[in-house]
Amino acid sequence: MNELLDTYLAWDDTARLFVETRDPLDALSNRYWEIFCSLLRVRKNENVPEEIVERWERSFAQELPLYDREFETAHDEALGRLEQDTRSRDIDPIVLRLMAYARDECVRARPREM
Amino acid sequence: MRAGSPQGDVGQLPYFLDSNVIIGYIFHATDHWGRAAVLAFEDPEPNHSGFAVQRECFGLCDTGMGKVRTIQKAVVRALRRVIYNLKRGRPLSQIAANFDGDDHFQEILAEIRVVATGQSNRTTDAVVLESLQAFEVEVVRRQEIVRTNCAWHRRTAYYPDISAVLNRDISDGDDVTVVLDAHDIALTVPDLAYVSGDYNHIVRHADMILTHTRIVRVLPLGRFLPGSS
Repeated sequence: MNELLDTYLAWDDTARLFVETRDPLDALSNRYWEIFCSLLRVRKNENVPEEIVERWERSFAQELPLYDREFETAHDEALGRLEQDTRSRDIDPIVLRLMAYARDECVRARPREM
Repeated sequence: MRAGSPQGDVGQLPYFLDSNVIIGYIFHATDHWGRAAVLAFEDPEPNHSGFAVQRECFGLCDTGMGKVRTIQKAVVRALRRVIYNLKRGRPLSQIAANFDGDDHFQEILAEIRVVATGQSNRTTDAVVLESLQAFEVEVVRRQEIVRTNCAWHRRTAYYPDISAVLNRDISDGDDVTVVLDAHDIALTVPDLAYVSGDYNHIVRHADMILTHTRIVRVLPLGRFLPGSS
């Protein structure tokens, strides 16, 4: 299930964010386990007709981008609620390097449409 | 006009911002280019831009498929994997080997090592997580500022004659599209100045752009730095 590693890491990161912002975790976690299980049933099953597994696979392929989008929105909203004044200033040099890296990658990306 | 405004200009000069200015503002670094982009964007003159720049930066209908979101996600994904590996006991030096050939990212990991070294109260993965969150908060905040502090226009005319002339000198068709967007805005926004950090495709062709469009000036991004001329 390596294809879900980034999805898992995003959930882990966001769940920690929700704890910090004191937001309820239930809905976020339930959605993650739903998407996890929708791939799990494709990868690990026994005696299930091939056409049904194919249908599950198509369903997972359709659900994952929707989940990602929904999840990103929840993540961004939680970031907006995060109290940043308390963060340590010693990480500023790292953040500046990340900014420069992201900008240079953006500009290097041609054509204008990605 | 404030200190960072282009030297020698007087009065109102509404700006058309190219994507490199928007991107330089959102991913704000402290080098020359980063400072110039912030000075250009925050200059009190009204900011305008077009659909091609909007699509490039933010994707069609804000789908999140534009450059800004795509690169932000790539950086976040890479850092999450760094945290994942740190938590599994892999040293930073070993993780850095995964980024062989990406000197820029290696520098980020080296900076993380510098900050994390000698910290007894914070683990390295905590330093990375805090940096990741600070990066994302700032990028999301700046994207929101860009969306609200810039007038976004949608062109409906094609201007085939101008397009044909521009295409003769500007090799990239996407750049021509952006210039046509600026021209279209300049028809209703007098004295529009095109601000760009693209010296090769845009600034180099300033005379030709000014001759064939209603844009009144092409301002290289570097002109916003104090002391430039």
